[in-house]
Amino acid sequence: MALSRRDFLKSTAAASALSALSGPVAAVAGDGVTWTKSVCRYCGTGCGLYVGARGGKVVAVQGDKDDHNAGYLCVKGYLLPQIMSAPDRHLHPLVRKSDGFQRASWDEAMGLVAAKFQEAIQKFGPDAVGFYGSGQALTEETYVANKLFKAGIRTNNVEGNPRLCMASATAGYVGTYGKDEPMGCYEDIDHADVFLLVGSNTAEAHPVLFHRILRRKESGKNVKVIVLDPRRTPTCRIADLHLSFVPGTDLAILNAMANVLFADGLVDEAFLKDHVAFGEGTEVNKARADYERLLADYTPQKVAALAGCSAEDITRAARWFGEKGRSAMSMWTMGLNQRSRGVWANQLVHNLHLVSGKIGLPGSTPLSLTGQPNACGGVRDGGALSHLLPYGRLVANEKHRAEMERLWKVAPGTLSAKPGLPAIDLFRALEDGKLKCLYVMCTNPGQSLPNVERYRRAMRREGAFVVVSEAFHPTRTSELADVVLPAALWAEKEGVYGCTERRYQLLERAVPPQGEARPDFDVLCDLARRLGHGDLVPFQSPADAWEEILGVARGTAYDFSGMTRERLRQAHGLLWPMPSADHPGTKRRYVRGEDPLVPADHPQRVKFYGRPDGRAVVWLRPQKPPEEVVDGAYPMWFTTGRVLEHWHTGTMTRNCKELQHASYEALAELHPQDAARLEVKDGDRVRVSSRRGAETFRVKVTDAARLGLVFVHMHDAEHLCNRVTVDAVDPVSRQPEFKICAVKVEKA
Amino acid sequence: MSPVVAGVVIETVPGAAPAVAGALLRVPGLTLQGGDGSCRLAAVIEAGDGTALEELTERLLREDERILGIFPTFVGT
Repeated sequence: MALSRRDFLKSTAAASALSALSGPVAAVAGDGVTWTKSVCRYCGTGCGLYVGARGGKVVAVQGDKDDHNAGYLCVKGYLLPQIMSAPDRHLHPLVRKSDGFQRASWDEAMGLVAAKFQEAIQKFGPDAVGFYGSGQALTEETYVANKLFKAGIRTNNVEGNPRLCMASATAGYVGTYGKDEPMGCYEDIDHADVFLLVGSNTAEAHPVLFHRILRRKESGKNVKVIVLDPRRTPTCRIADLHLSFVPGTDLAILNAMANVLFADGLVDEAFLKDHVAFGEGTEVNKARADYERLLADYTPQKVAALAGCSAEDITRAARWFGEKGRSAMSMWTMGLNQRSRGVWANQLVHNLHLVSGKIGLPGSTPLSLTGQPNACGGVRDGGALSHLLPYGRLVANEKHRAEMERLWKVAPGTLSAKPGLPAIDLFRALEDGKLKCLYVMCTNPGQSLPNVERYRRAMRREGAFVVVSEAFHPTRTSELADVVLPAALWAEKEGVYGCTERRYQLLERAVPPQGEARPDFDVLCDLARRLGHGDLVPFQSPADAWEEILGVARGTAYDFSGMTRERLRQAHGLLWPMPSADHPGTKRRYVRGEDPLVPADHPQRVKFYGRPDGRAVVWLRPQKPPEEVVDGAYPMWFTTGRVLEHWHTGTMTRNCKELQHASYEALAELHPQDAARLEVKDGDRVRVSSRRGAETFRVKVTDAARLGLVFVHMHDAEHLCNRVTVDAVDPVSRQPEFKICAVKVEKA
Repeated sequence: MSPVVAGVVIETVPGAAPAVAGALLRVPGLTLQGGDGSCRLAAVIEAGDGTALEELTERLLREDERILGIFPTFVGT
């Protein structure tokens, strides 16, 4: 029987779908395709996959059945091949001349970059230059940048976009447990009886993890899903309880849940006695009685009135979370982090786990979900922020600086004791002329910063020199640059990604870089040599840098010195701590018998060794409103977020033809009553204005919106939600409050 | 413009797969292949091009709250 090509495709499609019903996605290979192990380029879930290449081109991907994602990918991951040969791939260096961008040789472009940086450093000192990197860069790339700027140029002006997404999660973990990064892992999802999803639209932002939660809901007994979110997002479709609230009142709700845990006897007395201390402000100087006094002011009834929700729902959520003998797992992301009190919000989630003792057990853990594929591994762990040094060390700590000077083989006193400028301050320094040169790598601040027009003007200020290393051009940042360097993209280079659950994975090169594109690792080493710091980068390849990184991590609380390159090549992800080549890795950190850094004879089941007394801290944090609240002039709340089909500033996903027309345009989602009051309907245009700027969007009327709240997604490069957002920051994490500001909405 | 054939797994809220399957029978270009009887359906979608394919899946996701996700397993042209 002869089959037409269409019949063949249909048979193959049906077979792959049917086989996926019972497990991972089937591989679809063609003639002459070679498969290379890699990791998805998008979110922080870190899905393992194989890159299929033929004739030097990426032609397919398939999920890795042996990785944590069990072969599943979301639609973005499946369409990754299209980004590689996108029409706006940037393939040749460009230098801005009086009549616009002109193509240049690498030598000309790099010579100009080095000369401009050298001149600024000589005239104005090392703090006149800075680096702004990315949670999407490979670990080795970020490591080289960090080392060059901090130990070579001698400035701590090293920042990155994780400041915009994960800084409050980091400060939350560090404040509570003494060290960054979660203690739990994805496998905990398979054991959880209750999920508390706070400020996380998991279904769209982390679809493969959502899929795993769904599996658990099917297989577990009476598994409950609680969603705390002002909007009724697609995640709420599996919620047993959706608690919608007035934006900015979730701190009070989390305190009210703790109030119920105490009132209903759901506290783990032994755990509190053995493992918990209490603090306020920055001091661990309080007692349990002080905490209970604070909570007394947060009764469900009182908080419900403030938050515009039901007291019964708060009580129900707390009782489900705290029920004895049941495991509870919390997950959160930007809804908590992108807040002017993001650190407090994070710590209030940790409080629930600590007072109920639901921590460090299978299915009981607080797990912050990460937005980018290597924000954890490269930037947070690698210490590539302005106040950090690698692997838990701090710029302001003399002992830590001395350690890094020894490890980096630079003279004592080389590392500056002065922390650099956090992201918003870095761009403000560019605005006021204190920062002369900025090197931007693998990110798009010209679209992604809050109050973005202000910082777009700063990047084009007379006298500012901005270098952008990018795989695509134009982006809303590269269009502002003085030099645009063509960066190799994803499967064109090799390096390590570290995702949400302390899992490190190696991305191997599958195809050569296109055009004249080069891996950022090579370009940064080139820049180091041109600036006279070649001795800091004696690397022939990223693998050489990885060897050095293993030594830098050795003996720290992050110790992954057992993750040799070869082991990473063979494994489908490895979880640290992993202090030796024969250690299997650590699923649950701080847990005796699992974490090699907890002594085997430790008398209790957990030890929070990140803190000197081994106790985690329950912080007393009151409700605080957002920086900007609604008033007569700006009567509606404004919030931003993601949709399933796109990612970040859309530079990659809008290059996938299937995704281009799917939800790419940012729409203003309005509740039907708001739409009626404004006399607008689907497709009409509204002008959304804040105290900083305005943008026009088409309207989508949906009862998933909360009355009085406008939602717009962040991916559209033409309709910029960040013209509206506020650049107020959390006083501790310095992370901006993208999630909440006040606006007025008018029919356009 | 080249026609596209895709294999997909459609995830539904627990227990809703049979009812969702009933609704999907009326969707042009979508052929059901099977299901697990509870929350997963296997289907083949044929569309005029990739954009039409994505528009269809997006519409299914937005309009039927019982559908939680559509995971591609194969896309061919």
